[in-house]
Amino acid sequence: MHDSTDSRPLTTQEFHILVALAERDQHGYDIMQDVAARTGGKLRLSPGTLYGSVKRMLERGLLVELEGRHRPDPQDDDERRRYYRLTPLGRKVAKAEVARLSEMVEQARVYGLAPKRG
Amino acid sequence: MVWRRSAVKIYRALLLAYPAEFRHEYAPEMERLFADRLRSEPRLRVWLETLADIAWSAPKEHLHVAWGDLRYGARTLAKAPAFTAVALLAMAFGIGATTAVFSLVNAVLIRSLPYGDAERLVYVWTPNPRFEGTPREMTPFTADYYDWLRMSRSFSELALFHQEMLNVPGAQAAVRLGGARVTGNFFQTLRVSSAMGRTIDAEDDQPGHEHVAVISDRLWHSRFGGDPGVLGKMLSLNRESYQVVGVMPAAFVYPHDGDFPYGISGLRATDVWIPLAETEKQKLDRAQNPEDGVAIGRLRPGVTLREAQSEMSAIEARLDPLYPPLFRGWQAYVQPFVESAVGNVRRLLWLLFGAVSLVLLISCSNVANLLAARAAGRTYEMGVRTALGAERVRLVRQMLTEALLLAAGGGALGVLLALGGIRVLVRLNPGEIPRMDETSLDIRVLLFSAGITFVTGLLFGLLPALAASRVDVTALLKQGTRSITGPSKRLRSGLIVTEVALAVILLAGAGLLVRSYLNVLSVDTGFSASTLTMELRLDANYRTPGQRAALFRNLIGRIRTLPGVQSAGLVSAAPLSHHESITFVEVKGYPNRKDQTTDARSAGGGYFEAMDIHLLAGRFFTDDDATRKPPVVVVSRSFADLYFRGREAVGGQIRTGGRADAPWYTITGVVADVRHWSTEQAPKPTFYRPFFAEVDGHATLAIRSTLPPDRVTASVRGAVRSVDPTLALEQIRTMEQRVMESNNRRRFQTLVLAVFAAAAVFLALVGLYGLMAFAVKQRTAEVGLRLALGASRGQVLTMVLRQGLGLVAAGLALGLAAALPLTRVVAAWLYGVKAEDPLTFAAVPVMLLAVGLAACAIPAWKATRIDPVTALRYE
Repeated sequence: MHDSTDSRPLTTQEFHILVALAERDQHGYDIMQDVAARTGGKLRLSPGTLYGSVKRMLERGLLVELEGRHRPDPQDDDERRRYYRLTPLGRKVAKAEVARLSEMVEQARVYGLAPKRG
Repeated sequence: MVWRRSAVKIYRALLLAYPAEFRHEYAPEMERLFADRLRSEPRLRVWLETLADIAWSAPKEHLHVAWGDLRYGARTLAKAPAFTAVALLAMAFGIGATTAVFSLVNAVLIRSLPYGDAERLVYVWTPNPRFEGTPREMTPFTADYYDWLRMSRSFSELALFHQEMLNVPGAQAAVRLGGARVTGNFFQTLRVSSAMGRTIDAEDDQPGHEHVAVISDRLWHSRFGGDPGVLGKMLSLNRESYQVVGVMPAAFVYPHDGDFPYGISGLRATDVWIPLAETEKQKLDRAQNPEDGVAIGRLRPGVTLREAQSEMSAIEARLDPLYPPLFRGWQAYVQPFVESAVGNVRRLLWLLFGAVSLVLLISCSNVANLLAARAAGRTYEMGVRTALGAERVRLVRQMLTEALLLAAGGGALGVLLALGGIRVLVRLNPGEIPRMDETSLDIRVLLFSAGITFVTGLLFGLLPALAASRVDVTALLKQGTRSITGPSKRLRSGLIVTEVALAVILLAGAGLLVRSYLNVLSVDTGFSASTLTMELRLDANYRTPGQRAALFRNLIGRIRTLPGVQSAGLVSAAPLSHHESITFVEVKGYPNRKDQTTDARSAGGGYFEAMDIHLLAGRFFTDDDATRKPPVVVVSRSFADLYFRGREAVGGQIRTGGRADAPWYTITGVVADVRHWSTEQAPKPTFYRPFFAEVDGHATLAIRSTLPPDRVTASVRGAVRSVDPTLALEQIRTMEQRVMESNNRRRFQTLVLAVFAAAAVFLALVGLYGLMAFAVKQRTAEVGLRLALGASRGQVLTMVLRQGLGLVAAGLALGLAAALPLTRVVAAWLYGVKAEDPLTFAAVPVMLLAVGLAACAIPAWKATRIDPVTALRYE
């Protein structure tokens, strides 16, 4: 049921997960901490929400779960945990979302709703 | 740390809220994440956020699964339109029929009556076991009622009323309306208030103040055109003037037919309520000319029915000695109002509901069968999915969703079907089922339909789903073909056996009722069906017996000269009119028992001829017999058989009342027995007095004519107008119509049950055909092989038929075993047949085997057409 043509917009949580995974492969707890740190603790992903989002992003082909040789170096690898990586599609979708958001900010700036660029 | 470990354990338990598939995939990760957070963040915050997270995301995950299953289910159903259509229709039929019957049950038994707190209302009747054959619902004497008011403590209110048809002058002829003379607390007892103006109060209920009337909403519209200024206007009732003081809401038409037995029969609504206003003399009268009425009371809070009954029994025992010795023996019977209003139809409705539930079961097991057949076809898909790691729960859930989707569609269609079904049911209304006209779909019916839709979908989706998901993957993969039949074969055969068994039960029940109905139709009523009857009631203008006799003599004389009239006569009450009179009787030369009673009627000259009641001995009455000394009577055959066994009845002597000074009557004739009470009740010993010996204000005309009834009616109306234009004819009908009315209930229940039985047999036939067709298809390769190895077409035919009829036989055995004890449920409705009627129980198997043969014939024939070469290639 991988449906990559699914054009459903990303939820806030999904966007943050994509951003967290853009830098490096991570497991669930890392993703949660990453998101919490970037949002100043405002968005704290709880297990149900986090893995529900991950499940659907896997189904849409935005993420993959790492197996075998793709997993991190043995000294960093907590082998009980599952690691996730952004797919090229996931990266594309994240970029498109960023572009959409910046365009919106740009439009808002024209009408004086956002500070002018320094 | 210990607390952290137990916290994680609690969290693990909470994870059960998620769908199994999700849980198996992510639960360990989620637990770890939870434990990590507990280590680094304040405990309380982690718990609060986690609980909120579960409450939010667990239902969401379930929704995702359900939505996926729904889309998958809808897609698979859409791919098999024939299957989907058949399953939807079967479901719709079952749910529609059940919904229609339930809405009837709802309207008649469940929906509340239009009176406040009807559960606390009771009737108080005064049965008298001394009068053989009289019902328990005898109306109490007015004197008793007024003593009850003083003596009883059980009621917060106790009212009395008297039903009466009232003459209201109309534009052309007088109209007769249902009326009630009521005590001042009548409306208070029922807890109803007027829509306009006021109701009748204690002050109106005094002699001299009684000329006020409360009218129905219907009368307000028909008579006063809905004029808002109607209050204070005058209304003439039985030539007396009444002032309108109130208008009742449209829903209030109490009392009407069906509210209690032996009221004015066929009365659809009461339109006028006027005060009873008894005089002090009437309130005390137990001997001269005592009046009676219907007593209805409201139990005081906290008083039980049993307490009220024992109090009233004690009171009535104290009042009984106040009656003249001959008329003693009164008891009290406190009957819940609701039981009286619906008691006699309750069992009938539950019978219908039981029958329709069986039909629903059959149509649902058909759907289960279809699902199982499809699941068998999908064994390969299921096996592959299992091999790929899909869990059983997942497969069951998927198939269940599909079944519920089908059920929902079937339920929606079923409700639409029920709308039509209700119309048909209401049109079949036998007339005496109260509030049947009000049958409709309301929120309770819709909830019921939704409930049975869900339950049947669940039940009949679960069975095949469980059977189909139990796939032996190794066997499937080893065999490597798609021809596996799956483990659901036994389930499918079991379902067919059940369907046949259920159809047998319904068919046996319906068969017994049809036989009973035919028996009732062939009963010898004792009278001619074509005779036209009509009632005439004189009003207060005809005070003396002489005035009344003169009018009736004048009228019957005119009627006899009307064109086409062959004979015409008067009678106190027509057969099947619900007017019966019972009297004490003493027969000369017979060992008379104490309290020996018999039915009595008054009949005028020409009556027996008009009704075609056969003369067996002696002679009929003439109109001169009224004045003959000694007075004469005519008796019925069963009267003669009982009291004049072995001797001549004609010339014999009887007397009534049991008093020593009562005159002896001489029997001049013996006539055939007549079914007076109902078509189903054996005739009772009856004697007829000459009509003009004692004329009261009410009589029935019986007319035999060569002309059609409506022409006779028109000319009789003219004759009535010519003697007194204010009089109105009522209850105009042929005896055939009275017989039809008497059989209404039986026709209704027989028809509905027969329709259900036919539907059950049809559905079982469809199910059996489906199973056999599928089985033949599944066994194509096997049959081909047999044919290739030299089996004859005849052998193949026998093989298929044996399989199908084997299932029918198993169902028959099961059904007959269940039907024998179950037909006792209908025993109360049988007439002239026993519950274990051999003819019915022989006909049912023959019929079902024939139907079974028909269902198997086409698949069996198809099996013989199988081409061995193609069949083996098919493998």
